[in-house]
Amino acid sequence: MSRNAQIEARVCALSGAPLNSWVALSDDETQLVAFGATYQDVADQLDRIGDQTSVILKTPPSWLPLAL
Amino acid sequence: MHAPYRPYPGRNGGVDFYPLIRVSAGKKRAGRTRPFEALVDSGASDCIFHEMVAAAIDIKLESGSREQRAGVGGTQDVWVHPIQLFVADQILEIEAAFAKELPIAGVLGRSGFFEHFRITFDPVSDPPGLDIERVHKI
Repeated sequence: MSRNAQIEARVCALSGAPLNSWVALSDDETQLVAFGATYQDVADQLDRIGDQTSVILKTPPSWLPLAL
Repeated sequence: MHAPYRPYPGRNGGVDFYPLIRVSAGKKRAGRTRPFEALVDSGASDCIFHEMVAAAIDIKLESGSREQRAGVGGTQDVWVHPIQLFVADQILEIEAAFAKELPIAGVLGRSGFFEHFRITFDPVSDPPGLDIERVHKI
């Protein structure tokens, strides 16, 4: 998969994920693997499916530019 | 280590790129989290993580030293705990702040992160990215 396709797939996966939640993306960051209200919800889902490689993110309350 | 900036959905269907890297947090004899993305932020005074990261490594949030941090959104309480921060193949012993409200999982700031690495941000290359090199101080 090209870099641009990976970027598009990641953005598409995140756009479809619930806001202000915890999500897991596949190791190549192109697919939404799990989501939940808490970090532990997502970690537990990954444990159940035997996934050792996904990366966890917290989605912000909205997709506005971040200013922390 | 070279890490491309990670894309987030942006305004009006666009894409915003951020210097996010994969890290894990851990505590001695209590395991470590799965890899999660944290923002490399030279404007942050120290490393701040969401309280759920603390819970994942069996840290009782409010048993830590209570302090406050000021950000664009205002001031909030944080609780500081010693943790292990895993960055690629490096393990850092740091003091990390944990907050109940944080829009992302974590922020890697000057104390605890930048003090251990030489970091070069390159937002103009295609793809944009950052280089992180461990510096061992004598």
